[in-house]
Amino acid sequence: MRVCVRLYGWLKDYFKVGTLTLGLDYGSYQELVSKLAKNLNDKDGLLVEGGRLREEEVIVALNGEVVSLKELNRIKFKDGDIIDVMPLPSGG
Amino acid sequence: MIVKVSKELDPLPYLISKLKKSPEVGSISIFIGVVRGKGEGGERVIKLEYDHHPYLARKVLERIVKEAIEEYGLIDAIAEHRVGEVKAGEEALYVLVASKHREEGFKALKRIVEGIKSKVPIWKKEVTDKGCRWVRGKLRGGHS
Repeated sequence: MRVCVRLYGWLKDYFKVGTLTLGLDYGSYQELVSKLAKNLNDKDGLLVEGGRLREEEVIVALNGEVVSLKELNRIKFKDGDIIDVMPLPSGG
Repeated sequence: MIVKVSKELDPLPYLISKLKKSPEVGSISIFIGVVRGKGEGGERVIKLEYDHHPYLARKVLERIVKEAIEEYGLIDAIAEHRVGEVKAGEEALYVLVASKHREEGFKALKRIVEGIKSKVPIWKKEVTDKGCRWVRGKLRGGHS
């Protein structure tokens, strides 16, 4: 299956990519995070640390709905899912 | 209720006139967010560049305003946030609340503004005479 991951704000600038498509075999959160870290070459662990997205740095939405990182652990991604990885808001 | 996330804000007199339509209105409280011309390190800020999630920004903003209307018994409320480039000195955010009395208006105004800053998926990059930097958000409770 293939899912689309979109980055925003400083994440987009830092990793120099706004949208990427990832191929997943199992559709688990762990697989997504592992492939994301590899594709983004996140050597400094700014986004992924210890096999998890850094909770203090990002919020995640699946197909337009914000989901907690705890919920993500239980989700099986499907073909065509859109996953938004967003920094903590800083508007205003 | 009006919520808007776009490159331009509606004129304030127009927004105020929208809120004054009900005969019950006794107070209109307004917050205007302005782009500061001086950074935290004293550098000259030229502009802010706002990135946002188009669908979620509007959706979350709408929810925040709706909840404030219900919680404080407001007559009506408006929140408009600019995105894209906003120069120093320009206005980036309007929040207006119409209430019967000022007390609930002040409280609701604060609630909405704080909600926007901590929950609406909008991010700003500060462009200064010494370079640019993304303003990092802080973890302040739930985002769902």
